[in-house]
Amino acid sequence: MRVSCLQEHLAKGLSIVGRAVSSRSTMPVLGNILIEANDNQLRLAATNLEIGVVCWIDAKVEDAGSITVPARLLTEFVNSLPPERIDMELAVRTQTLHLRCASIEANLKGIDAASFPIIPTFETITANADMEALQIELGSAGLRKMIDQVVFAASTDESRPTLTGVEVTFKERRLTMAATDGYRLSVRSAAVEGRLPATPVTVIVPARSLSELARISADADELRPVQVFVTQERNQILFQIWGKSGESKGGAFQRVELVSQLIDARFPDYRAIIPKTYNTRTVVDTTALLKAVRVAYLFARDNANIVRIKIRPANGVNPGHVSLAATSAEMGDSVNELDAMVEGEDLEISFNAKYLIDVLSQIEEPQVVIETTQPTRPGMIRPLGIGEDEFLHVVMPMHPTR
Amino acid sequence: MTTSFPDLAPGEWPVYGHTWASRLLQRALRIEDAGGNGSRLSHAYLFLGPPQIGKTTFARAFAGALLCQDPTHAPCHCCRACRLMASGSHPDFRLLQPTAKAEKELVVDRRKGELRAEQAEALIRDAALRPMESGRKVIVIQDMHLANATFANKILKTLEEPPPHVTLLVTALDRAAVLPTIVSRCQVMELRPLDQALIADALQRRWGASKEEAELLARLAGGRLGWAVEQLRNPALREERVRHLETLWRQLAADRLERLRFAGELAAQRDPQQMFAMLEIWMSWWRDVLLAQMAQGEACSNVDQTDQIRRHAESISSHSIRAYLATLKQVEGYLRHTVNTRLALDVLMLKLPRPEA
Repeated sequence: MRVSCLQEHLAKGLSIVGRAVSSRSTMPVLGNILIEANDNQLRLAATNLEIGVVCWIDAKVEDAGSITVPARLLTEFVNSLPPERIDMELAVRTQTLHLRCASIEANLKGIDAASFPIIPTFETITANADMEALQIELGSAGLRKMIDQVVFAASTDESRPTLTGVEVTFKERRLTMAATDGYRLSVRSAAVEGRLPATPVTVIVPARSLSELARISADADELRPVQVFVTQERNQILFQIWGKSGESKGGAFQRVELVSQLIDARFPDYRAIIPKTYNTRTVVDTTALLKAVRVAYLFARDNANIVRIKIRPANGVNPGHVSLAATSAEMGDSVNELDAMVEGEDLEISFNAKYLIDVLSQIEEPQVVIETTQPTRPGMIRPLGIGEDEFLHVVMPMHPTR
Repeated sequence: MTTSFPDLAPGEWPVYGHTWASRLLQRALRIEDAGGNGSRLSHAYLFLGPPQIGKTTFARAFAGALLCQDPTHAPCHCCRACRLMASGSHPDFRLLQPTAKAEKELVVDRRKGELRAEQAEALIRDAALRPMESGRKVIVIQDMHLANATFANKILKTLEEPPPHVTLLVTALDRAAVLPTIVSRCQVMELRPLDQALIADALQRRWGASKEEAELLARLAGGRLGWAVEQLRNPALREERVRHLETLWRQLAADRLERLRFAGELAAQRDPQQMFAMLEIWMSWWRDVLLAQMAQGEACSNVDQTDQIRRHAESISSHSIRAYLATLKQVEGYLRHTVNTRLALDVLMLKLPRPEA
């Protein structure tokens, strides 16, 4: 292998795949990054057996070849190089990668590329014509927004693997994502283009993988859609993200493929817990409410994050309003009153302030709707102006001890 | 200990001995892959047996057969899956080992470590993820007898009903050392000590031992191939055996004062591992002497010391040897529990028989 590329590109590529490098000590090859030179591009790959990230960057290839080298060493080394051309050469017999950039030279001892796990790629999946893989396209900004609005609700408790995932459903030209940790639920849905199967497809993707996807797509070319594939055996989902390669400023990648293993389980039927009716419907300004919850959180964080919300409808004299109160036994308390459009009955209900902040900071629309029935029943929060089937969030109330 | 067996025929397992077990599992695998009526493979197996008998090696070999890409000749030893297994880097194979905390990091320690709660969580999550390259995922849990209660209880659900693609292989010393709730969830296979001739043969062919070495180690191993290989690889261990024997001979001739001094020294070392190794060697020695007295010298373990065995056989009565063997056994039992080590060792030394002149 003999190849040269720009330091910015390589540093960018390594920062993208570096997140997938495993810390598992039992398989040393997983602590390495695969470098493969071919067709005037450099392919970088890393996997922790849950998520695999492959990144292609521009390079000038004289001799094709591949090797795996320790991820941390390579990344830190490349990051400390000046922004110039890097020449790499592989000594096949000793499996050593020689790097040269400006006045610096280095030799990295590697592991044979053959012992690196095979990460399926777009080509290998689509090459098989009779494979009925699901294939759709999404705008990268829209996808990122969808992911952000859902993943925070997923559980982080490893011993309940199902809830650490996001249920992704492709059905009737729509893509739906849902995540829950048992206390709150986020559901986001959008229309999609592409080759959808006749029967609905549902898979559970680890929330971590989707967060990673959102992170990578921040650097993506907004004009080219992200492609999504689900393999026939339904064991992997693949996202293909196109980069802004060709622009010379800073580092850029050609494209990235993110492959994630899927969680093999049944997702709880969350539709059953979405409230069908409401007694009180409150419309309030999103940013004002978010600010108010943040203030309340300062006091609530000592007291199990409990924020008490009193909702009063207009009564001819006063307009409808919402008051948020939080108390800390040692620190003090705070009350905040907001004007709101309230329909229905009076209500006093407590929520976890943290959960409210999580959801409100993901809503871009100027106003939100809060629908509640009783202090002991879940409340529904969604942005005003878009349909209920686009985005909704359900949060369980808390029972403050009095 | 990763080993590659380039000269194996397809379908042959990379293990020495335990053929009854490998045949049984091989048959179950064939039926399963041929889509026979009803699945014959269990979702979880528990391999029991004395230390270093080859439980993990066997589990690894079974995993290789499960993951092999050739359905008719698994393990074929030539597909990518078999090659990855041989190099220890198959992405659908996991080995969970007991760990000890050292500077906030978990390091594998099969002596003092344990299987921990955080490992159970990682296992549960890992099991829920689909396999990467093959149709199955095999998780080997080593030394289940070292699991702490949290670990054992956390994995119960996964062990009972793992996702369909997962096979769990558990190893442990014996049934009593594992929670009954674990045993009942697995198909139990008790691996037996290997034949002496088989070990001698394996040591010569696979590990390049000389005929005499192989013969001696096979006799000493007591059916534990792993032990024999360890001795072969580490000459210091073999010297230790001779050293322990020489200590014994010296103490036989020594007076009481000297014996008590030795017991004190031994107790002060505070190295139980070393102490038990010594007791084991002493026991094998007296067994040999007894055998020699009954003209069964052929069956002796310490074949490199036949002269000394004969000398002891002539000078010490079989009655006192038998009595001393009982003492050895008893003291060993005491030492495994909480007793005053010094006192136990005093007894051990004082009861040592004296050769008649």
